[in-house]
Amino acid sequence: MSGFGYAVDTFAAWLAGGEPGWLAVSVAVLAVWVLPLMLLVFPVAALGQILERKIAAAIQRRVGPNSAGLDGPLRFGFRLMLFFLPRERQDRVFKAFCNFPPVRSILLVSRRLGLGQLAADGIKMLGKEDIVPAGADGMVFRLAPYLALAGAFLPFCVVPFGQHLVMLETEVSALFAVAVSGIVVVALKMAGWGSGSKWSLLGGMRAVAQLVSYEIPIGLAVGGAVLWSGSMDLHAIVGQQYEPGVFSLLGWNALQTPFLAVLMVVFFVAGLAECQRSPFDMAEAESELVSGFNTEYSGLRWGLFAMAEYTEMLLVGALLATLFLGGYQSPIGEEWICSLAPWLEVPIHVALLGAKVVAVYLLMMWIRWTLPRYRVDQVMRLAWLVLVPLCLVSLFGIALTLLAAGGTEPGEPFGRVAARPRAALGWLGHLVGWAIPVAVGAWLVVMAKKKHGQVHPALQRLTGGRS
Amino acid sequence: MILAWIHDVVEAVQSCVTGMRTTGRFLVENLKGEGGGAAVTRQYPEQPAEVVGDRQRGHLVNDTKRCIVCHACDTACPVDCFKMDGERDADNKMRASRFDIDLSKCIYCGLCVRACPTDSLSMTATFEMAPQHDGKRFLFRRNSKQVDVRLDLHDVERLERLVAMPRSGLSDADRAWLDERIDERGQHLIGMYGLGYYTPEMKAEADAQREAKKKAKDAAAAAAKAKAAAAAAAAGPTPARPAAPAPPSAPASPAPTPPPPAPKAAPDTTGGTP
Repeated sequence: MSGFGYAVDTFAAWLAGGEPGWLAVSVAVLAVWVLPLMLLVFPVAALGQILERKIAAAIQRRVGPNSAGLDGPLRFGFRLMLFFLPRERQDRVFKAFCNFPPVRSILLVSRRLGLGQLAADGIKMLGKEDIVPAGADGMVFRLAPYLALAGAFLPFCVVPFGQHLVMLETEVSALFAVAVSGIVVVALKMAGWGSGSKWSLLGGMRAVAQLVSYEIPIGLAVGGAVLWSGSMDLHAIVGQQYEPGVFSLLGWNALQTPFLAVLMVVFFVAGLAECQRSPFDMAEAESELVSGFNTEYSGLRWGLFAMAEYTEMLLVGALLATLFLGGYQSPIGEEWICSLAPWLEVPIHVALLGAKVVAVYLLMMWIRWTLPRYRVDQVMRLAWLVLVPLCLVSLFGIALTLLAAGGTEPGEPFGRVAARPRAALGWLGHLVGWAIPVAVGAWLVVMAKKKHGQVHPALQRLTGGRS
Repeated sequence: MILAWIHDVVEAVQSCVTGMRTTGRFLVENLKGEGGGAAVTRQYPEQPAEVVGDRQRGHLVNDTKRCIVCHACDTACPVDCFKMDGERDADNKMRASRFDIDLSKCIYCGLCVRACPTDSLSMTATFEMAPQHDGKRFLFRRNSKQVDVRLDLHDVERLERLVAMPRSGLSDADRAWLDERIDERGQHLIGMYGLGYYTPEMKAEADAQREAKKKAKDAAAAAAKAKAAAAAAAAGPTPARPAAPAPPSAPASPAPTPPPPAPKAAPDTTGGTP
């Protein structure tokens, strides 16, 4: 049992004063896990919007938000705290506080970073009218954003944040994460259908077509990691990547065979599509569909959709890190970190997972402001004709590698997995396992270049002779 | 076929990497603030804007020394934003005693400037009309009760110049001249283009008038409401009690205050002081 399972049980028992009923357990789960998780995930997701604006600005040779600092919220806070004073006195105290050098520099930095934009945007969104269009299916329309956010948030409860930090320990948590994030498909369809608008409907249709298609490469990529790790439990998958010694990152799945590395890339690309992020944002293609499934949404409901998008980006980052990049583990000296006291070890592990997630987050933003949008048919072709074959080949390769390592035994369901094809392969096996696929791949690429030259004829036809 | 597929994938990866490298370079250079990716944004209120060119159509200015009140501009104006009166001066020449340009109507098309036979109308290169964030520059208030303190073109230029200078660097004469054009809110009120400002007495008068108007309106609204309520009560099932008479409707509208003194701006004076 994880530490948090214990905490939940204890808290529930304390609440109920004896054997906890379902209500006490629900309250305990909410208080002990969901609330901290929300406090951890949602602010990061919200900060992502500022980060995205800054990055977009930097890529486009702009400055980005640089005026709204924390002065406004701070002044508001002072007004609340000093309500008993007249307004001029409040302002005088506020000014004195702001002129205090460290505070002044913090405010200046916050202004340069545009941090106040977060509060400003939030207040703006709260102030907007909540419109339900006349032709909308009210219930479906209202429910959709909550469902989208739930679908993006729920899989976090199986993501291990630390050695004992898993909300929900199941033997099938990888399956759970993939399945539950599928709720988003339904939510987008509901939003598209319920809006009673052709733009929304078209956007919803596209979103569903895209999401359903990309579930398959995602499933196959997760399957590859599961196959290698011998467990469907994300916690066990992370535990299996543990490597004692200095270079802990040698145990990470992505470095085991080139096939797993390919699967990681596939997972990332398909995850990008699952988030409806550019270049896969054809479901909300502004130039064609106004805003796609969220065309008719305003105010807080629209904000929930935006939040769901950023939360899902975090989720893709967390799952990617968990499945392929050692989860919460450190790239070096993991053994040493594990030996630390819990109060030190837990924050370090959470921060390490956070760093990996943020790295994926930044990569996604970088891609968004670089690549143009795919056409509908191109999106489908990428999923079915590129990613799925890549996945199948990689799965086959992983199976072969496992066979060469003398087969696999089912791992233990929780904690550190004992059966490790890694150990069976040894360093020589790893070397050969990398050398053969890489050599074959390189040979194929050289052959392809030799045969088709600079530009593939089909591509030439498509672009009218221009490369 | 397999090779074609591989070729496609490799091409795609290569082109993605090329694009990402370009934007990545921009990203790094922008964050460092140097090189091709550095931000090209001009932070406008802090950094003064560049004047676009000598054909910029900024403010519309009338040089009343040269204006002959021929109404050519009025005729040319597509939005009818001119109001002007003329009078004969000592030399029996036509001079503008009033020349108002309603800037809320003006579309800055410049047709009037072309039509002007004496070149008294011109458009300046300045275009900043809103009050600036330090609360120092301009404030425009348009009202029929405006006083016609107006500045000629060279006065506008002088004011622009003086406002831009640090106050300590001004000569005494300049400072006095500038102070004459500061109202009780510490803002420079420029009466150019027919947009004037109140003297304090006139402001009090106008405020009182506005207040009275508002009161009258409120009273009328209250009366109408009472009347409607009475009517509703009368239409009710038990109309035994006669409806209360509606309170007397709006108090007598305030006596119209005399219009502001007729503008007497002599052609070559720059208007009175508040």
